Amino acid sequence: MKKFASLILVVFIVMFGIGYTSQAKNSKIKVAFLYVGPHNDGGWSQAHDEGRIYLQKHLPYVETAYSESVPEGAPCEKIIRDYIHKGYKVIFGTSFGFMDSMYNVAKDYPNVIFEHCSGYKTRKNMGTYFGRMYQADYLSGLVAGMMTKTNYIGFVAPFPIPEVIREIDSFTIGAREVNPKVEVHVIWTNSWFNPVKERSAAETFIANKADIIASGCDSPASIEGAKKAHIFAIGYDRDNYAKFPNTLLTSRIWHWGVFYTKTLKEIHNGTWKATQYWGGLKDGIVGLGKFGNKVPKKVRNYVLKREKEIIDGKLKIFEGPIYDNKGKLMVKKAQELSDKDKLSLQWFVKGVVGNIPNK
Amino acid sequence: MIYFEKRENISAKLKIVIPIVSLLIGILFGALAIVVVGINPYAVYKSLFVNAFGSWYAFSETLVAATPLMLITAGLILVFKMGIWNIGAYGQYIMGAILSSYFAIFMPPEISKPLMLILMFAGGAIGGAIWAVIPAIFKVFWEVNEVITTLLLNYIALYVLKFLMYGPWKNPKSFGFPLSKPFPSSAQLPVLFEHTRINLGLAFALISIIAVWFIIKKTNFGYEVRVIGNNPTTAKYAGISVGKNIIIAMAISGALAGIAGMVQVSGIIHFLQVKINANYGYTSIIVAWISYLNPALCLLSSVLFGGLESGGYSIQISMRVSYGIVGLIESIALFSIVGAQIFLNYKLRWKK
Repeated sequence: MKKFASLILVVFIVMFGIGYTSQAKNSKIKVAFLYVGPHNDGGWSQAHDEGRIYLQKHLPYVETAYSESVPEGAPCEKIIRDYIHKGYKVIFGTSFGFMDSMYNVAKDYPNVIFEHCSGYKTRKNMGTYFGRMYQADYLSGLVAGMMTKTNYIGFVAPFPIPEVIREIDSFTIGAREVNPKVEVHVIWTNSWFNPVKERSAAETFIANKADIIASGCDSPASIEGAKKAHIFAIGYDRDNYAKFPNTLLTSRIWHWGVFYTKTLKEIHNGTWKATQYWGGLKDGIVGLGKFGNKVPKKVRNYVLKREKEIIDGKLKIFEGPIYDNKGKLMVKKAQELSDKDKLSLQWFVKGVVGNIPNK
Repeated sequence: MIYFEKRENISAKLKIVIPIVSLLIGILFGALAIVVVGINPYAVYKSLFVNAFGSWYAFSETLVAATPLMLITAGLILVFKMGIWNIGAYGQYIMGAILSSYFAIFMPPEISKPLMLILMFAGGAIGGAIWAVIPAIFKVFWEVNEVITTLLLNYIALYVLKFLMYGPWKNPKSFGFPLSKPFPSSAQLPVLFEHTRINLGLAFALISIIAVWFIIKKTNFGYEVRVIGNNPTTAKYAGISVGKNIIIAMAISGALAGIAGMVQVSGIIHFLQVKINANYGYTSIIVAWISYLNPALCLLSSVLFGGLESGGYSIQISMRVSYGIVGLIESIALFSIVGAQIFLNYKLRWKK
């Protein structure tokens, strides 16, 4: 027993010995990104990773690293602390579920800057950022409304949170502007990245005569389902046109690099302040992807015209009258839903078929 | 032809050499996998050590991961000693977390911190104990195999947790995410060392290891446990109440797993969610085996496995290896350690 104990002691000493060897230092700003899915998920996380690469390419004084498939909750907090102990000064958390972990750690490390995507909690050293994706959702809704023949559109949705409800609502507003007969049907997957569930949701829609599938989830699985059934799909997160030129009508795309370079420039210049950033089409953080090969000229022109109106501030998507899907008037005529209400949206507009569980 | 021959007696030397050699073999195979993806394996392993033991911070995170392993393993040692295979620490851990969270979520937050923590501690212990006593009763009265029942109860516990998180216990302010309300500060275990996440749970773990050692070595109950483990029939003839002892041992084992669940939600996560690292319940089975069911060794193996877990998270950061590789290295190491156990009891022979 004594022998064994001394052996273990030696093992520990060796471990610590290896551990304390020096680590290289440099003067770049070290920036860490946390992804909720794989960095090459073909959707949400990949869009952020493309933003990271964009940042890396444009600002020479920045060094980046990322962690993928970070579980929301306790392990997330551990990973953030690991980064800080390795000298990272800026942490970008790219999923709603990282919010409380970031908020906790931010309290302990006032000199580290935290930027949280899609949440609402802020501190002096923790800002939030997001994009007005609903503008692109609306535009893609226009395309879908003009292209559907069965008037049945399926929307594969992750969580019943305001972000996703806003997407479904603005998409439906767009589709019904050009085609009042359209119904948008919703299935929740309760997961950001679950290709199997997303695919099977798409197949449920297809079996019910849907001829367009849209998705708010992070994998292109539903597009693949649409391709196999020879119907259309609306892409999300990033442009998969090259892979599905005949299936995609268009895509709603994140250009996170725009925000990441802006933020790091501010940090570098010492002008950064914790804000709640919410840029739109005008800022270039969101946009439409390429139109699919099957989208006629007439449709494209109409969508581009509306896009310009949004950018010029002439067109407001959530302008009344807007009814919810139970027929109640939610936004009065000539009034617009405030940003605060948009950010906490918890009801479906008329034309959406589906429920918001456990309101 | 190669065949296995049972060893007559197992020398102490062998008990030390086999796990170390098998770990080295595991490291070697892991290295092959790392080479295949084009990374320097030496650098990866070095980084694993650095991130598990290389600084006070790294070591503190290793202890955080080791805490639940110690608690659960201490309980498993007790039941494994008597030949009862409790595979259900996973579920007992979850039930402990649920019952202790009940107080954190629904008690008025004004009640004093000691009272709240005592309630949560009791909730964790009782929740885990109930989940372990159910299969123990089935075992004692109807001879239902406890391996099956404890394993299946794990799934039931997980679905109870999922039901609560997606339903009644979901925080209305979490926008549909399956998270409970955050625990008030009175429901959070105090941190023992500043700037770390090491909390009072580590003290629970150390005390429980000592307690289990004491029970096994010094008490009448522990003596009976050992006799039952050696031969239940003899124990029965010697007048030992086998059934009663099984139920008590399972209750202790479940209670410790439940306390581990309580420590995790109260000391680390600070709210209840679906992912509460219940896998510690399975890892602890391996830790118990590697420790040869010895409470003192369980302390060491828990720290080693805690380091493997905590360092594993970090090498993704420092080595930029993908998430999958980390899991691969860990599972190869585990597989070889567990697989090599067979050489403890058997030796390889050649027959011509």
